[in-house]
Amino acid sequence: MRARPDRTVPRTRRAPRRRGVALVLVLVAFGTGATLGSAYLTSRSGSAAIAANVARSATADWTTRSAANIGVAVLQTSVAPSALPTAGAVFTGMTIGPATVNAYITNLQGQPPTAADTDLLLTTVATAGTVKTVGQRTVSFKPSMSVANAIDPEMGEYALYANVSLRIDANATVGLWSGSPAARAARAAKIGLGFASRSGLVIDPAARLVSVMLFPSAGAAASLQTDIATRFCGGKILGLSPKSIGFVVPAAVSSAPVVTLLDRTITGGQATLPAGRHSGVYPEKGAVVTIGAAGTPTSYVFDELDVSTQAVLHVEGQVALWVKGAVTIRQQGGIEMGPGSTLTMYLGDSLSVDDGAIGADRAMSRATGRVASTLDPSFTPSRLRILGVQRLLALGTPTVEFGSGSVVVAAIHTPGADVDVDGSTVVGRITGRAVRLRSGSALFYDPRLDNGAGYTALDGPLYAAGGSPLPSLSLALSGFVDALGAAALPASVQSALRTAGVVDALGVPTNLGGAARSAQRASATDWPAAALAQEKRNVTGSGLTLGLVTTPVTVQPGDSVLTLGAGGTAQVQGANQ
Amino acid sequence: MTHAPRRARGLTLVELLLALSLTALAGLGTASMLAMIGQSTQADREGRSVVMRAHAIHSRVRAYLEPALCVLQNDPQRGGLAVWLMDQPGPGMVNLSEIRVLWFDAAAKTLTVERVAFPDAWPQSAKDLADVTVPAASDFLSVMLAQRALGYTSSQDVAREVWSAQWSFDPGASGGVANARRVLLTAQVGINGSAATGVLVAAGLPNQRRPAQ
Repeated sequence: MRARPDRTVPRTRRAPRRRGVALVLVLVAFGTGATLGSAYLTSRSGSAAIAANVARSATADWTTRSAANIGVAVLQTSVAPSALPTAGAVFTGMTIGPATVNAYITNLQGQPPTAADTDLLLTTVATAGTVKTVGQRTVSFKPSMSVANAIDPEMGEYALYANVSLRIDANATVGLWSGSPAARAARAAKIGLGFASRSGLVIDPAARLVSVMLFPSAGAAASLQTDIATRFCGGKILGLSPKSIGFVVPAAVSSAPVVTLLDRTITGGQATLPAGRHSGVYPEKGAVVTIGAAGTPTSYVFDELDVSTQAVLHVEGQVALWVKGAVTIRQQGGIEMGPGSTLTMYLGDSLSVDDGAIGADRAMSRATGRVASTLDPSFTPSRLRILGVQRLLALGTPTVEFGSGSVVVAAIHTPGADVDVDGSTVVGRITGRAVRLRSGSALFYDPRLDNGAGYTALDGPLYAAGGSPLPSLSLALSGFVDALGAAALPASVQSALRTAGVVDALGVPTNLGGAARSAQRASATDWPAAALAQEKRNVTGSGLTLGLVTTPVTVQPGDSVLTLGAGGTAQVQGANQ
Repeated sequence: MTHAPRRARGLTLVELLLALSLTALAGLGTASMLAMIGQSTQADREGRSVVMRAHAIHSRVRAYLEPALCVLQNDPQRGGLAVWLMDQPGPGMVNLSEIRVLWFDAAAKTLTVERVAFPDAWPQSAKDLADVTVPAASDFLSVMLAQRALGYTSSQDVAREVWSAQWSFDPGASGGVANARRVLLTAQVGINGSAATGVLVAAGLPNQRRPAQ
């Protein structure tokens, strides 16, 4: 039983309990308030920062455009893109408003331009605060080119040039060679006509013409203008008649010392022919016959050449070859280009490639089913130039024939020969007397053969302002003596124009000469790099695709609008990504 | 001496009511403050979202319009705007690969861009041959739809939660939109599925030129 407390004993006073609840509540309230307040303030400051970045982005954007305008203006002066103090840099560190801008000029492969590059890429990078933007423009650059340099005696600006007639059958194709970087530079495959009659041009409705322009010569039938409007992507009846003539074999080649007067048949195995004059050369049955030597220009003269049954004529170094008689490549034979080699073949008579390949490698020539799209891009048509030699009319008309699935990678200028392409592919170009592309044939043009300043460049050095030919130019062309050969044409025409006072001492028309700025020298078009980046396409200059370049431009990751990723891919950052 | 125990004194009803009233007032004030801060923060967040979304739309739409060569077609009924983005093969002519169509889908509330993209497995030569020229008088939207039916197109979002989109052009563009040098997009962009906010995108076409044919 529990005892009752003794109430007579005074109770000790219980100590009051300390109650800190209020303090805790106050601290919690303060903490909550501080958290909310800081969140609110952070939100407010974040908004300001975002708005500032948007403003910087706009600043960088218009600064990029301003820099591009300045860059184009620089190129419109006498500045040569290939001779900039710092390769590829038009200017760096320029301050425009609150931003710093750099401008770079490259060729379409993203490399510093050379003197031969006329299609260029201007890249401007503007930095405003932490925001960086990149803009690009393609620039069509026309250097202060002399008339002599503008006139290409090999007529490389034309994919096809026919002196007498041109026939393109159903299912024959003419277009650009996609292996050429310049195919993406708003270039076209141009067809030129050296004849005036409408009847000389026969193009089947089922022929495939992709990105092809037509440029008939002066005096052509007006009805050809209708063809330009209906069948081609552009063109014009020119105000002059281009000079399409053959070459004279240079003395350095024609005077090559005699090596042998005996025909030589090489059956299987390998052989190397010394430079000089040979008689007939007949590789056969898988033989590999080498001409030339790496790093050394050499000259050869053959009376005749016949490469057959999987044999190969292998070219090393820079070789000039004059074949006085016929050239025949057949039965999976080929002319193979060694690494970095070039071959200039002066063709004295006819050329036939039947079930073979020239200008490529032995894998292509020996293949049973040749596919031109598998061609290595290093085999460019400019490496094999086939030049028809001036010859007496009495000797008859030579022929150039490609058949049985042959692949030809060459720039062919045989203005006196009838050209017949049957079920074969030509990567390069053709000049001929009467040209026919039969069904199943294809001609893919490499726009790099076009210097951009020739007969079809109406804003080039051969034309005055307004697009009419330079005074006295037509007279100089028609007055040229064909027997001198095409190589002598440019200098002769320039000399005549200089005598007439049309060009200056350097042969440059007054509208393009001197140091004054001229809008004709460079014209630019925005390149939709940002749009392509948004489409997540690899827009790095890969040789096939034109776009953002990684060198010498350096763009850091984290740019607000445009960033470059691994491998040079470009990406756009945004709210949804 | 002993103290008489103090008698515990209770709250009067008035005191209790007063205390409850003061507590309620304080609680109400705190709740109001929290709500206000919350709303303000939410408004900031939405404002930021609007800014970011507007900036994204600005950047993406202008990326297609400003380098474009020509507005080829505008059809509000079908919600499509076709532009000629660039001129690569066939200079002066519109090729399939050079067309972009900005589609507004009112049902899906999206603004997308569509382009012709031939299969990767095709060799480049086949793509080049398929990249045919499209006459300038064509119905470019139908051309794109035809390519889509073949499976040869690729689409990407430009913006989502777009409630409305309307294209307008500079008043000097007589003779059709192909002559337009200024393009204005008026759009309503939704925020978290709720009220839409207006977005304006203006772009110039400094490279404007009509296709040759």
